[in-house]
Amino acid sequence: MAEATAQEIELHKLILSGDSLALSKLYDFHGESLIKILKSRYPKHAKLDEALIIESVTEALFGYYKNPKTYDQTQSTLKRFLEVASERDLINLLEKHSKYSKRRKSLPNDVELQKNKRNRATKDNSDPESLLIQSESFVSLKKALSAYFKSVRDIELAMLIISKVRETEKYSEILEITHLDIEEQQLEVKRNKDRIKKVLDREDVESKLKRIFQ
Amino acid sequence: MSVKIKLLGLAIKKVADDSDFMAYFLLKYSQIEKLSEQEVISFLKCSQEDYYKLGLCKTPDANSTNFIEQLNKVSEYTHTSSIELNNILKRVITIEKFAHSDNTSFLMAARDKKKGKKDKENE
Repeated sequence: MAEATAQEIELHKLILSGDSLALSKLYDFHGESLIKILKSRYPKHAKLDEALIIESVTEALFGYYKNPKTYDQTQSTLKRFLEVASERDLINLLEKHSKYSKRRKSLPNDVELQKNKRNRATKDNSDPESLLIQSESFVSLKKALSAYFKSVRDIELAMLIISKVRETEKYSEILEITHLDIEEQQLEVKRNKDRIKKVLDREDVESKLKRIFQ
Repeated sequence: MSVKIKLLGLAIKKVADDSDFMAYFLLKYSQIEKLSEQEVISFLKCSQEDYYKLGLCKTPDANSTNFIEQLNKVSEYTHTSSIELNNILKRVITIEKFAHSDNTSFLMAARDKKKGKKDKENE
């Protein structure tokens, strides 16, 4: 069983003694390497949401900093101890995340929501005139986007991005990947969104469209 | 933005409410002086990484006899000027003292002395 290195023992002593630089040094010595380790162990999650990995490392470092006596320097290296702690925190966070996603997913789609009487900003756009304007705008938007994207699928994805739609489900439907695992869907959607966004940014499409529709 | 910066940024947010850490004073100072984080970094003439590392350092105790020693230790580690750090600490401490003090003590100082019986007799 590997024991703590001299540098780790010194850092541990600093933390125990409440040294003014201890937390900063802990982050400096171990923060980045812990993120690298977790990223290599969970590459899919690292691509999808780096923030979760950063959060789990933060939890682990603060957990140790607040209760340094939980670490026994004769049992393992500090690095290993922090690795285990941050991985455990990441697993907990992922579980929490997936429970939340499942709860969101389990909501039925056909729930009829009551009209919010208090929200007077909500405008009813179902009158024939509004519908006509909407459909004309829709056609012109599609036509304008066809200058930048060749496939119909890309045009539809670009329209969703421009409309600031965030739900993965909508993108998955267009990409026809609804049969995949939710995490795989998110990954594929992100890949496609990044690709489309690159074109939109490079060509400055949004401001050009604004000028057309003004 | 590097992953280390993101990590340090999240860490200083966690301690920003705790006056035991410099992050608290950096945040308060930026609020008092209406400065952005970048402007405070320029004021301290340090890198963003050093600024975040500074935030994670414990605050030197202004009432301690070795305050200067503690301040120099932090400034040396974070490559910042101890004079500027001292200015930040003192500014925040002073403002907070005024903000949390009992207002009546200042009113008393501003009021004229009430005329007592002796004063009236002298007149």
